[in-house]
Amino acid sequence: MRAAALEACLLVAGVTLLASPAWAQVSIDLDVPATTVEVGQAFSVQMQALDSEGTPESPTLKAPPDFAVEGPSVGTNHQMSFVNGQITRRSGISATWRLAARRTGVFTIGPASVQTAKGRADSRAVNIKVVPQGSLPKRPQRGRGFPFDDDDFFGGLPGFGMRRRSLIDEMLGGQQEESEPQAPPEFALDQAPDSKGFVRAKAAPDSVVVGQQVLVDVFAYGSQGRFRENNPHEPRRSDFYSYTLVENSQQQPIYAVEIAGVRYYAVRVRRYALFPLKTGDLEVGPMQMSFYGSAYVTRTAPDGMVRQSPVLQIHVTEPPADGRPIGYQVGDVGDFSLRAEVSPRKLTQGESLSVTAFLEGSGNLPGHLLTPEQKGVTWLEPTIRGDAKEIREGVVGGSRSFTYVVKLDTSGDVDLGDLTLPYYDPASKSYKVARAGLGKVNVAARAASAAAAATGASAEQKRSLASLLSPAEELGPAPVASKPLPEHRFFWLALLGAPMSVIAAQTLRRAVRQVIARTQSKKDSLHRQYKDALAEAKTKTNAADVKAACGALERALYLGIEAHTKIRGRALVQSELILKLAQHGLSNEQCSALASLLAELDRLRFAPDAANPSELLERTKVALQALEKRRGNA
Amino acid sequence: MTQPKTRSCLPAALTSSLLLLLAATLARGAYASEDDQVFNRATQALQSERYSEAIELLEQLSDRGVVRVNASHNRALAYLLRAESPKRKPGDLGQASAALREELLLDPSHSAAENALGEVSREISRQRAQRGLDPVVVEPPLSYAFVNLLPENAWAWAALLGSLALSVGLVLRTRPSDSPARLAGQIATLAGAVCLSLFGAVTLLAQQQSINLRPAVVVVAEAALLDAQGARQSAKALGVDSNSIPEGAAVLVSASNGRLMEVSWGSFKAWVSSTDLRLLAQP
Repeated sequence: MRAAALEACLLVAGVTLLASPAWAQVSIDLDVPATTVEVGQAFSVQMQALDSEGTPESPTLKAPPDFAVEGPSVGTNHQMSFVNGQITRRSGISATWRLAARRTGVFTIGPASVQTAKGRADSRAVNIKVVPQGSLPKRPQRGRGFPFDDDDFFGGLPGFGMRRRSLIDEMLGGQQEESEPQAPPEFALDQAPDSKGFVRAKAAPDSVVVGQQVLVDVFAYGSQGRFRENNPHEPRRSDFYSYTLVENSQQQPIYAVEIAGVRYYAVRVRRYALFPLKTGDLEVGPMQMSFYGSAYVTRTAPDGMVRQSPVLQIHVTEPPADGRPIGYQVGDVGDFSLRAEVSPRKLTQGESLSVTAFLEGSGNLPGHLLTPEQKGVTWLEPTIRGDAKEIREGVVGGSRSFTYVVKLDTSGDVDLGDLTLPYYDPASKSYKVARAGLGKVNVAARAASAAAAATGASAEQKRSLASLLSPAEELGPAPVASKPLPEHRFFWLALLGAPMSVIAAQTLRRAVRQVIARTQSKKDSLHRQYKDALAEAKTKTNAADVKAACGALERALYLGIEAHTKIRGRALVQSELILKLAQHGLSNEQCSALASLLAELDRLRFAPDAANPSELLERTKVALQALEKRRGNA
Repeated sequence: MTQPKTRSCLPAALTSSLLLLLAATLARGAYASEDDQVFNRATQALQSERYSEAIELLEQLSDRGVVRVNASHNRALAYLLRAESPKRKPGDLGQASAALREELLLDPSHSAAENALGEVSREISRQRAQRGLDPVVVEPPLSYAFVNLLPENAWAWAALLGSLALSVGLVLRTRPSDSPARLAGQIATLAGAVCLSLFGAVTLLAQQQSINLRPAVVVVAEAALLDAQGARQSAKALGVDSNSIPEGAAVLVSASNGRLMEVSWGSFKAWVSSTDLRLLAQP
């Protein structure tokens, strides 16, 4: 009996021990209302997750791309159980998604998963068969709000039947007619860039210095009814350090805004505090999102009407160089105050103390402070805690602590100096210095042997790169900036001009010589020709060939005129020739004699019998001698 | 009536001109003494082991366009001292290297700077070796190295001598063929033409380099090699061993587009971020 009782006790204990871990595990279940649905029919998928080590978070559902998915809407629940005298609490969430299929087929929905203390936990997956519209028998209409209500997801769209109002609209905001709160002034607009809906971004201020906060708001306006942001694409802002003050529009109030007589639903979808990292005209990229609502969903845009905001441009400059304090780092902009605590105030040489500085204010909190520099005091890198956050509406700031370890290798009352942070205050447009006085600490001298060892060590350290250089005591004169020779205007002229001018001079000289020689040779040629013609005339006269002699004399006469006067007589009529010869300085008698001789020779070529060639030869010689004499005189 | 007016205008104009001249001289003097004051404060900070303050003041001088051998010298020293102190910052050795190179550019006779520069380069290589990185030694481009064998003016004078020899040779070549002057002219013509072509070309190259290339030094641990759009280049694409330029390396800047600078390093060109470089001041 005793043994049986012992066995029973052991069995109960074993069951209890086995039951406890089982209960401690995460339980997650996925539930669908039906395994067959129609195309476009909305249905709900619900996941229940329970965990004994904390509330599960971040529910997700894996759905095929052919399904439109909304949600999840998340609720929490708690369970308490009493097993074997032990109280066990479990926390859980219930996440509901709304799905609608876009085409027929068999699809796998899930698994759904949640984040637990031990990692992500998955549910089972379920298969859903999607059939064409009208394939399933009609079911009686049930009251609104029933979670598995069969709604026409694409209600009101051609081909998907008509509906008064889709469930999406109800999920988005209940009654459309309900009145929205009065919109703040930043929502007001004179004109709408798009009559259906648009996304607008606004930056203030749009001209800043590096490190100064710019507040960027992104608003969405839709005139076709309520909507929800879907598939958002965050604006590109890589040139800025960014704090997101509004992460999405879910918790933001929706306002009714009248723009040019049209009523829009408007909501703030994002708010960023941006701190420019560099100078220039920096861009904040467009924010793109889909307007999700029954009036915005079409067959071509099943995820809703897509719109994007215009690109914003922020003009960023450096703070002024005038009055910039020593140690100022570009980007330290805001309004800050600094205080510090030092502990301990009494220590021995070679020991370290702790300095904790607290920086508070508005702006992007700097990650550095200026530590005082002095002999025998070594500041190690600080441990930094605290980050900036939104401290009031649209303003980033906060507090940050810097904890330093300071090693003291000197003795006596040591004034630690001040911790400082030079910054630029855009409100007053001036530089300021946040300062925290550290006061004095009392450092007791250590034993002589230890000090000697330390001196030896420091002497060892002194053999360094820096010992290769000794500091210059004076600034010294400015280096003489001599212009390099090739940059002088006449360098290249002189360099190439000298040989080129020699070559040019030689070429010119050669050319002149050639011209002279050619002219001389031409002249020689005319003289030779007319002399040859005279000789021929003489030969022909001796041979009694009168006709040929007359021809030769005429040729000799014309060549002689050209050689002595450069007048080409053959190209002129007689009167012109006389005129030209007279202009050339021949007397009237000589001109007449030449003219009559030429006329006679011309005539005798056709009546040679009447000629006396010897007499003509003599007259020609006389005429040519007269020309030659005239040339000599000239 | 006009004459007295003219007489009274002339001294007034003279006086105002003199006053203007005096004001300009005083302003210049005041500015110069302000530079000296900043330098002296920096030197005091350096001697009091306030290295960051000294660096800040010397950088202020540099930003104001003050180009002095001693300013570069003390800046190099300040960076070296800080690099060896607990307050060292990445890039201190690179900045020291840049200041030493600047000092040598301004006055090549500073042998201490040359010696220190060699030591700094060895220290950078040693620190790279500690991080498991190979010491990267890259020679400057061949054309740059050749041109920098002599100062720009030396090449220019050599070219001018070549030009003179050619000119004289051309004149002497016209002498009679049996004259020794003609032979001398022919030799001078040939030698002058060769000298003029060679040294003239080098002078032109040196001038182009001095106009288009600015010496700079890498002042970060590694300057990543980028393309013109700022995307990182792989070492394979560039055909080199490393896809970054080490700290303290001397490069030549040939172009810039704001945040990027095109540099020649060794035999190849690439873009690097302008914040990774320090352009050296030139006299």
